[in-house]
Amino acid sequence: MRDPAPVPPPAPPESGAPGTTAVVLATTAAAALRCGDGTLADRLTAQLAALPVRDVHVVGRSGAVIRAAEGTHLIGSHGSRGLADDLRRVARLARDSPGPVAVLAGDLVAHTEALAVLLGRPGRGTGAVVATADGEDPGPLRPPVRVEDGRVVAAGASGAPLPGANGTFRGVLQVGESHLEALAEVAEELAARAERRDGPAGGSQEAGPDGAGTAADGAGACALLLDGLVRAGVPVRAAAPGRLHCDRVAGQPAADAAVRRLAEVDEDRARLEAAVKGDDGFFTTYFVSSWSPYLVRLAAELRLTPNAVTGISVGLAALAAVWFSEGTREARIAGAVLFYLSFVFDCVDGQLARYTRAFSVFGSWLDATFDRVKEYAVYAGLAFGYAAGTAAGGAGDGAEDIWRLAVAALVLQALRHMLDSSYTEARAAAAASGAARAPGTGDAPGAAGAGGDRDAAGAAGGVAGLSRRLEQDSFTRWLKRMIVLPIGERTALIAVTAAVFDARVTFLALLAWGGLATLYMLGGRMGRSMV
Amino acid sequence: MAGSSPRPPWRPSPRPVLFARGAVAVHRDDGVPSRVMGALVAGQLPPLPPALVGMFVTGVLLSIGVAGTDDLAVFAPAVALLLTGPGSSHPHDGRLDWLVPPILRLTEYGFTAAVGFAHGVPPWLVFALLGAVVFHHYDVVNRVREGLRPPLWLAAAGLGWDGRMLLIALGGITGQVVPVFVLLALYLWGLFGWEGFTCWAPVPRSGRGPSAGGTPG
Repeated sequence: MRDPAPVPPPAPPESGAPGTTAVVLATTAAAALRCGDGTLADRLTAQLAALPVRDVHVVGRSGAVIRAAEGTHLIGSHGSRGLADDLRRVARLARDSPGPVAVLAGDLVAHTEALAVLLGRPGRGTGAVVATADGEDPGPLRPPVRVEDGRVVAAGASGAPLPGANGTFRGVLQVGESHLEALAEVAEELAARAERRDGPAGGSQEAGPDGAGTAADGAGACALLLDGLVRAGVPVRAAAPGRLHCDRVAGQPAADAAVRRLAEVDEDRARLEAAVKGDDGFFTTYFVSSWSPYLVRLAAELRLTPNAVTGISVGLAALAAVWFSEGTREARIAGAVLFYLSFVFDCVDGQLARYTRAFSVFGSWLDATFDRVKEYAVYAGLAFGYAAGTAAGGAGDGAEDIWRLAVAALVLQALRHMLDSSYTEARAAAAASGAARAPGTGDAPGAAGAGGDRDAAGAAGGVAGLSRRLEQDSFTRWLKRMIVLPIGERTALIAVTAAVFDARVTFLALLAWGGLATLYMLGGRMGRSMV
Repeated sequence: MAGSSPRPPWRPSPRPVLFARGAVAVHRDDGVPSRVMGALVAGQLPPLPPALVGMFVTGVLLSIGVAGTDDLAVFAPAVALLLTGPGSSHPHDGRLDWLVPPILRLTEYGFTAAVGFAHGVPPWLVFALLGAVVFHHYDVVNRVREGLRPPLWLAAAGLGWDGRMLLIALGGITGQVVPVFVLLALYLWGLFGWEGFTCWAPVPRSGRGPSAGGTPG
């Protein structure tokens, strides 16, 4: 077990949200392989203590134990009699658990961070750890899956090849609260099927439903459940471990090699890289995220909470607004620097939350709300400063004019955000009603898959298709992200124009660029809505 | 593969059904007058066309200088309300119905700014009042994103886009635009700031979490 020193202490689960209940299916011989001074299953169980996991149920053939998160009490019970019994235990937990349920293969050798890509955020619904790197062929311990748009659309639970497979399932599955009912039903259905084949006792030599290799061991239950959930229409997010390792092993040499391989990756660095959002704009990516990870690590060492960092950011923005309101060029330059730093800390708080896994609903509200308050406070500061300047210069009308521009910039920005969230909301609602209707129509999984392909092909025409083709080129991809004037570009625009020119230029630039962005977004979204 | 068996009957529930008229309608921020008019027509009127016309008419009235005249200013919100209010009870599930909330925002913000500037309200006060309203609208967006629904009393206490426009117009008729702006800004900042903070502050969130809050509305 290896955890580099600077990793912060395990974070409590999201405030108010119950932690995950984890089931470790230590039913293969490999789960009992030696690793340090315990077994692989022991190692895995200890790793789960660093994640927001409420309790761990370790199910073995000879016995089962339940460990509470604090590791204080152990409750032993009978071991599982076979695959059907494994699945029934999962179903029972799914019905009883107040929070998400995770199912893990007991023969995993994984970085804690690789488990955290899924288990680190219990509130994010249902997902599976899926590696999509090239050159990692499916095998009995890594069943093939097909991933589209970040979701698992098909999973192979048997040894048979899966058409169009582009990833491998790595034995970790987490089911969100809203899908627990589906998990219970899937598990019971699979258990009933296993019993029909093997007899009610489950038998000591269990095999997969179709007698194939993978499921021949009990830990194949993970893959069966994933397959069942996908077929049931549950949206399963594909969580990629990236450079981190998450592998099931079959023998002592393989286990030793896998444990050695873990040490080759700098886990803390990978965690820090994963904390930086991948879909930020150009300015954020190149002028903030290029050095903000150092601040994230510093903040973590100083034990600052993300909310404290939000506070720093708000304080810096308030100072920026005060400097802007001074109106002189020197003051505006100071204000611009402060505003940029405020934005850096604004990015740091989210990265710190992901890095330390200290998420809270209050934190995200604080961040979202004060992002806006900061920006509009700076607008007001700029307008005050310009008005003070013109009043001193004797031009009375300038004051009124600059406030009109400030109000116009505020209205335009609020309007753009409203357009964005209203559209997102409408799409989510349409997708939800579409998904609710779909299961009744598509019967065979093959047909459903083909339907999905057809939809994708159909959507590739028109606006969405043009948009997707533009994504392929790196220059146009950045242009596409910049044209909508995201917060990073807005910050840069405000800081540079205010420092180099004056508030009037800032507002005019915001209105011009923002107006263009509005037309672009409006056109694209209306086009997509009409498809 | 278990593909030979018939498809099991369970259904996915990717998103709890939170809002009977669709989540888009929650962004409308209707006040009492608009809701009453919506109830009168019982959802028979689609939301988008009247909202578009309401915005257009308000824009025309403002551009010919109605904002500056004391007695005529009330026409803009009245027309917008008569047109847009009845559509509030209709499900907002049309292809372009997501345009309705931004249209209402533009109508209200534009009217508020036009009346404020035309009546010599201190410009920073116009900015402050709009800031309070904008704060509330962002707050609603953040809540819906977390799967929460803003309480109904808040929309009533916040007066809604219609109530605020009528109040400002009333200020125009009585020649009391500045006091109306002051009171409205103070009241709305106090209400929205306090309510937003107490809703989100980290208290034990019994029955209000994203999953527990899924009561059909």
